[in-house]
Formats: sequence, C-alpha cells, structure tokens
Amino acid sequence: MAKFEILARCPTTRARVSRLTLSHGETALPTFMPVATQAAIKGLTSQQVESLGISLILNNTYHLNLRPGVQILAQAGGAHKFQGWNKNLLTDSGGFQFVSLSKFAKITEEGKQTILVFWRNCNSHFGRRLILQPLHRRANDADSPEESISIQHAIGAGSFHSSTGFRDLEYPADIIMQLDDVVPSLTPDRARVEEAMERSVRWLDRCIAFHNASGKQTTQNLFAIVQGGLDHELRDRCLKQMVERSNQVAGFAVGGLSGGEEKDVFWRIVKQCAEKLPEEKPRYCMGVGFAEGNLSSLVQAVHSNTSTDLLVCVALGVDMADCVFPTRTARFGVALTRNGPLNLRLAKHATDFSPIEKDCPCPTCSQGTSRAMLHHIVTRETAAAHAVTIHNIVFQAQVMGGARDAIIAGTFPQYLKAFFAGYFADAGYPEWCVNALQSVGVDLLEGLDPSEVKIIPGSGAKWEYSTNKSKTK
Amino acid sequence: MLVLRTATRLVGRRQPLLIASRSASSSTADHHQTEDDFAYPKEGFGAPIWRKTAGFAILGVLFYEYLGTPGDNDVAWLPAAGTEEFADEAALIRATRETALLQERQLVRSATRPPLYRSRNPEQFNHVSPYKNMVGMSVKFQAQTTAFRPRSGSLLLNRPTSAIEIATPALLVTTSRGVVPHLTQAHASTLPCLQVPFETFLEHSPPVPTLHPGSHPLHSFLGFNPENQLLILTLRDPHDVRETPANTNNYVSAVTGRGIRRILSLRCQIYHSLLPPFSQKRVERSVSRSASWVSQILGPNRNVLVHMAGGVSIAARKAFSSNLIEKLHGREAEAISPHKSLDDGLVGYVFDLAPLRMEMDAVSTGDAPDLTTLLRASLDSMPSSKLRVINSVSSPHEILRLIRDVGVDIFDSKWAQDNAAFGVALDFVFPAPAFQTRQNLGHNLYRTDFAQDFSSLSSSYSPCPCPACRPVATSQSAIISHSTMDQFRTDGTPQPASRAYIHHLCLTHEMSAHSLLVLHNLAVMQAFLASVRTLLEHSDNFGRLVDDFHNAYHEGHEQISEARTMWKEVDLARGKGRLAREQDQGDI
Ligand SMILES: [Zn+2]
Ligand SMILES: [Zn+2]
Repeated sequence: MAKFEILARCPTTRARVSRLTLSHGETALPTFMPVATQAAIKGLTSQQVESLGISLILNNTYHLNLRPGVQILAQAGGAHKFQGWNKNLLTDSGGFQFVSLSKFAKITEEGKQTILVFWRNCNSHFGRRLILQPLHRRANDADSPEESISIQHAIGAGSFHSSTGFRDLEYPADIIMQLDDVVPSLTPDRARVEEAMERSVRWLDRCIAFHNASGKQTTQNLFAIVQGGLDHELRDRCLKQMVERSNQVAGFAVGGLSGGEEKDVFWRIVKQCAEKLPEEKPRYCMGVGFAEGNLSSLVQAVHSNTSTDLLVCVALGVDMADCVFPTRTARFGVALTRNGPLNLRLAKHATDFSPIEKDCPCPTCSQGTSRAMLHHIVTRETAAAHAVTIHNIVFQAQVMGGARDAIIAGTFPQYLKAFFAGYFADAGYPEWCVNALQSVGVDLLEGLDPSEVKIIPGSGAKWEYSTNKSKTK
Repeated sequence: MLVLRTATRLVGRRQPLLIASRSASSSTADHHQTEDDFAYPKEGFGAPIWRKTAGFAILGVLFYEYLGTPGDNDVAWLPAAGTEEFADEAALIRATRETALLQERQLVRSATRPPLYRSRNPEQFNHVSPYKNMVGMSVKFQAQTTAFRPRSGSLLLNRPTSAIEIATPALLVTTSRGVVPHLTQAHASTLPCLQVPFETFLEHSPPVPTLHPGSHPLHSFLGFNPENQLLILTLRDPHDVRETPANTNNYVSAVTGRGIRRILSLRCQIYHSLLPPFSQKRVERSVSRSASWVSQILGPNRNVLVHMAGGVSIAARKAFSSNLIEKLHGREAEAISPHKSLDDGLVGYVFDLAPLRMEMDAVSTGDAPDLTTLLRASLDSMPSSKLRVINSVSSPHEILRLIRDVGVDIFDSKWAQDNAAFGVALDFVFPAPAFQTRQNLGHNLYRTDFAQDFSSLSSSYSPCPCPACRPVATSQSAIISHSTMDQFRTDGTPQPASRAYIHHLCLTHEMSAHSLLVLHNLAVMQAFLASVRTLLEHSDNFGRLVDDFHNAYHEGHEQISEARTMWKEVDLARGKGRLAREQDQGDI
C-alpha cells in the first residue's frame, strides 16, 4: 500500500506538500503527471523523461486495451516493462476516454448497454470467457442484446475483475483507478448524472472487493473517483458514500470535470470535493485543462491556462493532476512560459536567438536552442515537437516544484501572486482564478491599483494569437 | 568543415569578364541597401562573372554573400514546380540521343575552361564564416594505394581549440531543416559528421543562421557542438530530385518550405541546377563553367568539396577533371594563388547519386556506363589523397561495392534514416554470418509478426549499443530537480525497447517509434562501417567478404516499400493532428 506523508501545510490556503511512496519510488506532491496515452511521451525515451525529473506518468487504459491489448502487456511483463519505464505509473479507468471518444447520444439513449460493452472492452481479459474485441472496433459497434446480457451475466457471476487493464499483471500500474460511469459534465439530464454517480459508487465496491481478493494491494493502489457532475448535492452524496470507504482505498480522485463547464463551476466543485475528502489520502484532480471533444483543435487545446489552473487546484487542496496540455500544445509549436504561452509559429520569433525561457533548466533551453531555430522547424519536424515537449514538461514540473518549496517555506500566497502577475500582467486576471483563490484566503489583487488591473470574465484563456493573417507558416 | 554545394545553370557565351566584374562591384549603390553590414559586406554581385559561373561545387565556409532582401524584386516566389521547360528537356533528351556521338565530340572540344579571375574580396567569406578563425583540414590515408583500391583513413579537421578526427569510411548523417529527423538534440549531438542543406533557410531573408551572433553561427544556431561535430553545408538537399523550374541565366531555384524560391543569380554566389543535366548542352555548359566558379570560392584554409560534373558522359567527366587539375599560368595563376591548380584548393570530391541515377535511367538500357565506370572516369586523373564523398547511397551492398571498386571514403545515411522513418529496423552485420537462407536487411515493424516479439532490435550476432537497444540508466545528478524535497532513486537496469513495443508505437502513430528506429539504424550503420574499417586494416580478403555479404543479404527494398505502404495506412487512419510536414510530403 502506498505511503502518504504530509510534510507541510500552507497556513493560508488548503495547499499541502506530501510525499507519496509507491512501489516504483517516491513522488513529491503536489505534482502534475505527463500523459503517455499510448505508453510513450511524444518522441522521448523513458530515460529522457526520467531525466526531466518526472517520477509519475499516466497511461490510458482505454487506448492500451485497444492496442497493444492486455494480453501483450501481460506477456511483456507489465506496462512498466513494455514501455521501459522504471518510475511510478498511473492508469486511468478508461471511463473518460469512453465519453470523449464515443458518440454522446448513444450513452444517454442506450446508456447501460454501451457502458457494459465498454466495460467488457476494458475488462474482457479478466472474464476469460469473454471474447476480445477486434482491434479498432468501437465499443458501441452493434453488439447484440444477447451478447450484452451474457456480459452482464458474466459480470454478475463475479468474473468482472477490475477496473483497469493491468490487474492480472505481475508488474502492474502503481495506481489504478476504479471504473467509473462518466457522463459529460454538461449533461442536462440530472437523473442520468445521478444514476452515473450511484453506479460509480456500486462499481467502487466491486473494484474494492476484487482488489482485495486479488492480493495485489501491496503493489497496487486503488483510487476512488468522486462523480456527481456539476451538482453540489450529488457530489456531496457521492463524497459521503466514498469517504465511508476511505480505509479501503489509497486515494481519491475528482472526476467528471473538464468537460467544457464554466471555470467558475469547475473550481467550486474541486473546492467542495477537496474539503470533504479525508486529509490523510492523496487527492487527484483528473484531466485539468483538458478541452474535451476537440482533440486536434489548437484553440480548444489552449482553452485553459493549465499552469494557473493547476496552481488554483493546488491552493484548493489538490495533490495530483494529469495534464496533456504540455505535450499536446508542443506539437502545435506552443511553448509554456511564466509570461503565458508562446506561439513559436509567429513570424516575430524568426530571428529571436534567445531560448524559450532564459533560466529554464530544461535541455532545450539550457543547450541554447533558440526561438528562431524552433520557429524554423515547428510543425515541420517532429524534432521541434520533442524540443518543445521537453521544455513544457520541465516548465510545468518547475511550476509545481516551486509551489512545493513555497508551501514548505510558508510563502505560497506570495508565490501565487507573483506567478499570476507574470502570467496575466498584460492580458488581465481571469475572474474565476481571483474568486477561487479569494475563497482560500489569497487576494491576487491585493496591493494592485484597481484602475489598472483588468479582470477577465469567463475562462480568461490567454493565447498568443497571430496579429495578422500573414503569419509565417 | 562547413561546405556548400552549388551547381549552376550556365550561359553559353564566353568572354573575358574581368573588367566588367570589377566595374560592377564598384558601383553597388543600388544593391544591398537593406543589408546587415556585418554579415554582408557591401559587395555587389551584379557582375557578369557570376552569370557565367558554373558547375556543381561545394565550398568549405559559410558560403554566400547575399540571397536577396525582403521586398526585393529580384527575388520571386513561384507558385509551383514543373514548367514547360521540362517538356522541352524531355524532347531534348530524345533529340540528343540520336546525335549523341557527334555532341560528345563537340562537348569535349568546347568544354574548355574559361579564364579565371581573382575573387574580388575573398575576406567576405570570412565575415560569414562559421569560424572567425581559420580552420584547416587534412585527409590522411593509412595505405596510400593506387586510385581504386578499398582504403581506410582519417579525416582531420583542425580548429583553434580542438581537432576533429573522423575515421573513414565514415557515415554522413542527413538533416532536414537543420535537424536530424526524429531525434532530440541530445541524441543528435552524438553524431560526428552531418550534412546540412541550406535551402530551407532561404525562407527568411537574410537567412537566419547568418545573423547568429556566436562565434560558430551555424553550429550554435542548429545546436551542434563545434568541438566534435563536423558539418557539411550544401545549398540544395542532394537527395531531392523533385522537378523544379529550370535555372535560367538570371535565376537559380531552391526548394524551401514556402515553395520554390528563385534567387537572382546575379546577386548570389550559389548556383544549383535542380535538374540533372539531361541535355548534352547543359552538360557542356556545366563542365565548361564550373571550373571558373570553383576559382571564386577557393581560399586558404577553406575546405571545399566539389561535385564532379559530367553526368553519364565519360568524356565530359574526364574533361571536368582535367579542368580541375590543369596547372594555371600568368594572371590565372595569380587569381587562385597560392594554389597552382584548382584542385590544389580542394579537399575532396562529391558524387550525388540521386540525380545521376535519374539520368542513367533516362538513357536507354545498355547505353549508359555503370556507376563504377562513371565515378572512376571522374577520379582517374585526380590525386588519390583527397576525400571521396557519396550522397544517396541505396544499400550497404552499394557501399561495399563503392569501397571495393572506387575507394569511396564517406557515405550518407539517408537510406538508413528513411528506413527508420517508415518503420524498418535495420539488422545486418559485416562480415555477414553464415546464414542458411538469404536474409533481409531489416524488419518491417508494422508487421503483426512483431506484436509479440519482446526481443530488442539487435540480433544475437550483433549487440547494438544504441539508446533503444541498450538504454543507459539516468544518473542521479543528471536528473532535473524541481524542488528542495525532490529525491531521485535510480535503480534497476533500463529495459531495451522491444520489437513489440515499437510495433505498437508504429501502429499507434507515435513519434517515439521513429525516434527509437533512427537511433538504432544509425547505430547499425556506424557499426557496419566500423567493422569495414577494421577489416580494411587487418584483413586482405575484403573482396571475398563483400561477395559473402551479397550472398547473405537481399539487396532489394521490399521491406521498406512494404513498410511505407503500411506507414501510409496508419498515417491516414491515425494521423489526426499529424505534423504538417507529413501532410506536405503527400506522395511518400
Ligand atoms: Zn526550457
Ligand atoms: Zn539498436
């Protein structure tokens, strides 16, 4: 079982610093987890990722179950061995990808059936009587009612074994997530959200039961996922039931967010959950800054200012967050900096020989790779994506590392103010960030001249747009 | 070594141009008004001498004076490649074939070198030189033999603070837009010898690397280490034989990321014929003028490689070579002083096989001499102590043959890198083991055979040291710390990347697949050439080993073409959000 020690608490906010010890080493919290959807971080070797100071990454169960498939992972000796990663690994439940990759209509109309079919996808290797889905076959591709019933029988008969694809493996993921029933956060149908929440609680029980029966508690740590949509009452009910099972799980996650809801709603749900979750367990906020449904859209990808979103979450009491933002935006030539995202495609960078960030310890910046060089290769050479990915991961990790040091030193509010001032100085502060931090005792605007400070309603996403159409491409 | 390949389209007229040239250079008022004084001395290239300069040549310093300024009418973007001129060229080929013999005679007669003139201000090269200090290069061969024996040796480049020594036969790694495709900088910085086509930097005017303030502008800009990495600079990508508009008297063409760029040749020292000189007429021009051009770029401690012109005509190749080694007298000798002949100023010779193959294909079967004969024709009269460089080599078999029959010293790695880009892991060694059946040179990792193959990329008879096959554990001190409480434990031996893993990455369209494969394939090529070197030094039956290799491995390219098809399928299915470059390539 994981060892979770709280080392310091921020006297003002709800932020805390802790150390999470798992079977593949220690991870300092709060932290962000880079996402290796297909068991690889874009173009980097495992050794390179490790050298960036990353000790915990995320794999997506949904994707790895489709390909290479659980059988291959098992043959390889587990997900760690398969991808050559010797540090900690978290696998998500797959529920979220199911929502984002399938057609929503099918869930709402044929909810149980598709979920069950998906379930089978995620778990078919456990119920060994079940047939593996052909590769690339969508979960909701015509399954007969009979088949669906037989799956339900199989599950009912106890052959549903786990929420993740790695349960049977000798070296499984260090943190596994329960299977949850995810509905899009903007679902208007409260009954459906409630059903999903209740089902997630029931599924948690089955996950706990199987987890305990499997004898894998020593190496694997099961996290519960709090559901309940954007409804505070449903969240409360879910929290109450799940906290009751606190001694059966290693940590808690806040799920069902980042589905396009208002940021002002997002932070209130995060705050509510973080407040009610037990102090002695790690809290994981899932999919921060993930703009759902527009996987390839640049504008959607930068819908959130993840760096600041993550810091708000930390102030609200969150310890871990996964984030595709640093790696995804890198492919579009977007570098993260303390002054906001930098769009390297813009012509103004063409002759700029300075690095992305002067004092950045990442290999890209410390070797002197210039913005001009990156401008020359972004979106044309994968090497550009590698270079910017390296920087973005290190940047994000530095932001979180800086937060840890500030919390320990008791200067976290000042750290927040300085970071937000650098990030939003010119564009204006997002109103929701101001409100969220105010709720934990940090006034971002304190000491600032109200006539000069801009407050931006809505998401307040900051983005370096091209000023004219003739941008260099 | 920074080297520039150029090639030009020539004009037919021959006339002394010395005076015209000088007068032009003294009236530069209308040129260069927006130039950066530092990078570009005020020196006009409106002189007719440039108009008639010629040839395929490479020069050993950062190279060009001027490539057009923004808003300059002399620079034009062309919408697309392919103009009527190509139809004309094709027609010309057919026409010339009938009178080939006659033309060849004419060619040799007219391929006389035009007069040579002293470069007007040679120091201009040093302004844009990657080294503010002089550099020198020497080539040594252990066994000085007759011209066409296999040989090993070393290429030594002296820098003020370091010396780079590269054992030959050596590998020349291909770059695209200044980077080794798919490699991170950390990995690319371990490669000793790289070739950098400069044309994509022409998208910006003046080209950005020339503005870099460092003492090694090109190295610094691209992130290579001048202490131990040698760069060869060329104008055009030597592997790119896409059709472009033919160069004219006034313009040369280069392919940039923003389309075909026309550079006013009057103001540019770089000339590059994008078309292989199909027509006899063009061969004639190329041969006759290139020597004149070479004279302009020679200089002390300037490391120049020259592309050996002459196409598929043995006579033309010999004519070009004799121009290079001809002893010069009088004013001409003054012009190239301290050198006695053009060849004195050269460190080596280059053969671009991609355009040459096209040209050989265009000649009906049986008419064209084979590759060895053509290369030997160029090198026959040249001193054997200089580097011989090959671009676009197509297989290790060809490498072995060119070492055995021609004594080539440097080979590009484009072939191996292409294999990696399409999912083929190379797997061969030299000398070849005794196989029961003939083997493929590599494995197409898209094949489902590899889904459950958990072995590493290297085979049992050739343990590969690349970061994919033998990853090195990250040392504790090398890990970036993000806070005072970060603790890193480095334990466990890192796992090699398995074939099954890379198969998975290939099928899921992950960039890491190609990163790992490029690392591996380059390591296989380096190991291959390393054992070639060892055997050249310690064994006298190299020829038999080459034959054995041919018997042991298929030379065909089935693996890569099969992989290419499968790569394309995955790319179409999964390539959502894929890099624009891949989309641009379209036809691959
Ligand atoms: Zn950086
Ligand atoms: Zn290898």
